[in-house]
Amino acid sequence: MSRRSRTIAGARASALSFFREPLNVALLVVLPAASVHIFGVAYGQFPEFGFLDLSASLGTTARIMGATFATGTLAGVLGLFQIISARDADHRLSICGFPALDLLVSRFATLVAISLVIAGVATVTLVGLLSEAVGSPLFVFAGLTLVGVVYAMLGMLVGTVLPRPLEGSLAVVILADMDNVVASGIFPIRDRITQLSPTSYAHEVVTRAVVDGELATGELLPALTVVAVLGCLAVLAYTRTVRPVASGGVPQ
Amino acid sequence: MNTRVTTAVKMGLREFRRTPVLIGLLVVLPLYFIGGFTNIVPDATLTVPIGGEPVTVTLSAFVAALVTPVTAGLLSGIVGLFLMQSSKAADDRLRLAGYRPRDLVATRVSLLAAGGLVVSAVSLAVVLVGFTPESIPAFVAATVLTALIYGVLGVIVGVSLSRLAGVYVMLFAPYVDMLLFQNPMATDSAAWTKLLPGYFPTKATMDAAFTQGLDIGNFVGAVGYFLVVLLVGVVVFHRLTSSRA
Amino acid sequence: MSETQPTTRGGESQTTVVEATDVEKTYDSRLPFSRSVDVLDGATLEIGSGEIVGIMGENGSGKSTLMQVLAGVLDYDGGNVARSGRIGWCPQEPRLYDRLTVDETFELFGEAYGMSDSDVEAARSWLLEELDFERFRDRQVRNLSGGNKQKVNLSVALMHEPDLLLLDEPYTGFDWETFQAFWDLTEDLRDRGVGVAVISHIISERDRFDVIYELHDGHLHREVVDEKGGSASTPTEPEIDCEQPEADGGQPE
Repeated sequence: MSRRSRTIAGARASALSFFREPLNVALLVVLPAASVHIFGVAYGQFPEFGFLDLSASLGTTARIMGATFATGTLAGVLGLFQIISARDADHRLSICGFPALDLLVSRFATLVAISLVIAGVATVTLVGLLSEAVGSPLFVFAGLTLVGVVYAMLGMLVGTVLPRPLEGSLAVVILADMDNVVASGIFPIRDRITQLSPTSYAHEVVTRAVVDGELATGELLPALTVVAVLGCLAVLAYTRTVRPVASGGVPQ
Repeated sequence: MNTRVTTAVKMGLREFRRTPVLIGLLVVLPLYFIGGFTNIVPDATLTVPIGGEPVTVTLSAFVAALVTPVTAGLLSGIVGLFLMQSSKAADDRLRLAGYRPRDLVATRVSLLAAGGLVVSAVSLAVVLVGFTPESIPAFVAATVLTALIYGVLGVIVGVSLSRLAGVYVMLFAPYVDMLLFQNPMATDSAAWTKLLPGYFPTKATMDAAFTQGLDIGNFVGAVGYFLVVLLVGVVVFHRLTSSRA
Repeated sequence: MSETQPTTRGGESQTTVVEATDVEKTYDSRLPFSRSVDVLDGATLEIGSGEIVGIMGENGSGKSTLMQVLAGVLDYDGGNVARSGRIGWCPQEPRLYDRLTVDETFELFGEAYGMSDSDVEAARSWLLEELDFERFRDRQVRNLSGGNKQKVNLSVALMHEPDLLLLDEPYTGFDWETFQAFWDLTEDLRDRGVGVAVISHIISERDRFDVIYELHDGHLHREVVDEKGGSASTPTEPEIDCEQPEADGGQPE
């Protein structure tokens, strides 16, 4: 079996594990639409506050929050469940001869691929539910993909510390909620706190894509830096958790 | 009192104490929601319609008053959910061993009440550090009622959904209901939002927080809503635990 | 409840502790266009006092369902189940309160059984020693190994000295010594007149049973076991009416 086919086999197994869990599929279908709609309707009840300094209207900002929250939550839960299932299953696969590097690549490929799916669903939902025309759906997709990948990595890190579905999910959801509030700009929070938000730059990419239709190139590099840093940490976490067998496992 | 019920309640309280995720939530959520939000909002005032009258309050006080019942409801809902989830499989055995369905119902209702009081106490302890409602007893009562209503809803959700799905529901439901749909600043709420569990408790909380004269109707409504959901919860739980042979 | 005249291996006359007649149980699918599953379809079984009955069958044949019906934990759709005396049910998975310690588990279930504190203490001491898990009494159930959890699981079924014991694969995770202790305990209970039903996959243990029921296609096929582990009746043949137990019922003299 070639490296490519092993990676595909590994990624396919990981993806099937995710999609065969009915709750995950239900969340993927329902959460983006519910989140965007509810955030929009709920915040739309409020008059525009004079002291809020937002680049878009309150309703639009709220719907963007809904999309980023849904993307972050789903991708974070994905990362969490990937690391939880990897603990035993990937270690076993490694013992059976699956090369460690291929395991690593297939897991991360799965994360990126499913994050793209999540971002796609969230983009379509957001574009569909916004009352005004979206400047650039493609750049919205790019921004939401960044949010998804960031949270997939964060989910893995949470799963390393809290390798239990319930507790880990709670941590991911609360983290995503806190981060979303900080990054959204709805509350005028001090800059040094906002900069700690993992998705503040990705959030800005999405907002600029919706409002101005342009790619926020100034935010792109910091956002990719966040992805790179979290990615390295996630690789370390995976390696430490799975303890893959370097030499390729049990002799035949 | 029935020794079966007292023993089971005693054991149930021990189970709560030994569930780290519940303890963790009990510590983190009030500090995050109440402590965090009240501190990050800007120094500003706003005029809020409460009981039909405009009342000018600081944004920090407004958030404190609004987020407290949300926190209590959220925590209590998760407690109710855990209560149901942890006992589902083993209650069958307890029933077979001799517990009557009403013993089990009494136990779970007692644990729910205890859980509601604890989460209310923690939420109130955090909020009362920096905020003083106009009527503390009424504010406490409104918070406790919110916790009890959502606690029972947590049990009902726990019967119907898996633990993970149930947690998602109980995490979002009080948040969306009270923080968003029942928010007094929402000037254009649809009529159906009055049917949500948070309608009466939120009005009662705001009333207790910012006005001197209490609208007793809100409390009556909240108590009535609690009794209705409690009846539904008891029936659902009783059916689940009744002898079926 | 019918009384039969079969005798136990010890020679005492036997009463029926549980009798299931033509029991039917179907699991309906919640999804549309999905088939429902007929798990039990006219199952008939009888367990007498002082008798060890084995229930065997393929994976997914409905053994656990049958046992839950006999215990009274699961509803059934047709037929009749009649029980007498106290029941002890040990499910396949440990249905316990994970965050209670072993001692607290005894206390809670002792309360449920209506046992006095001294009876609970006596039962606890007996079972902790018999199954050798005394040193884990202060440990929460969730922190026990699989085998020790199963010991607690079994103890809850035994502690109130039931008249009928229903054990669903009770020795999962047991080490060899505990496995032997389990059978010594079971045979001791049988000699005291307790009716015991065990779901088992271990065919080599056939000689420990007085009667074996094999569950197949929702029906039970009864076979009396002789003392050498062989068949004292002809099992599972088409001309035998599977709903009627053997006329002589018990062991050959």
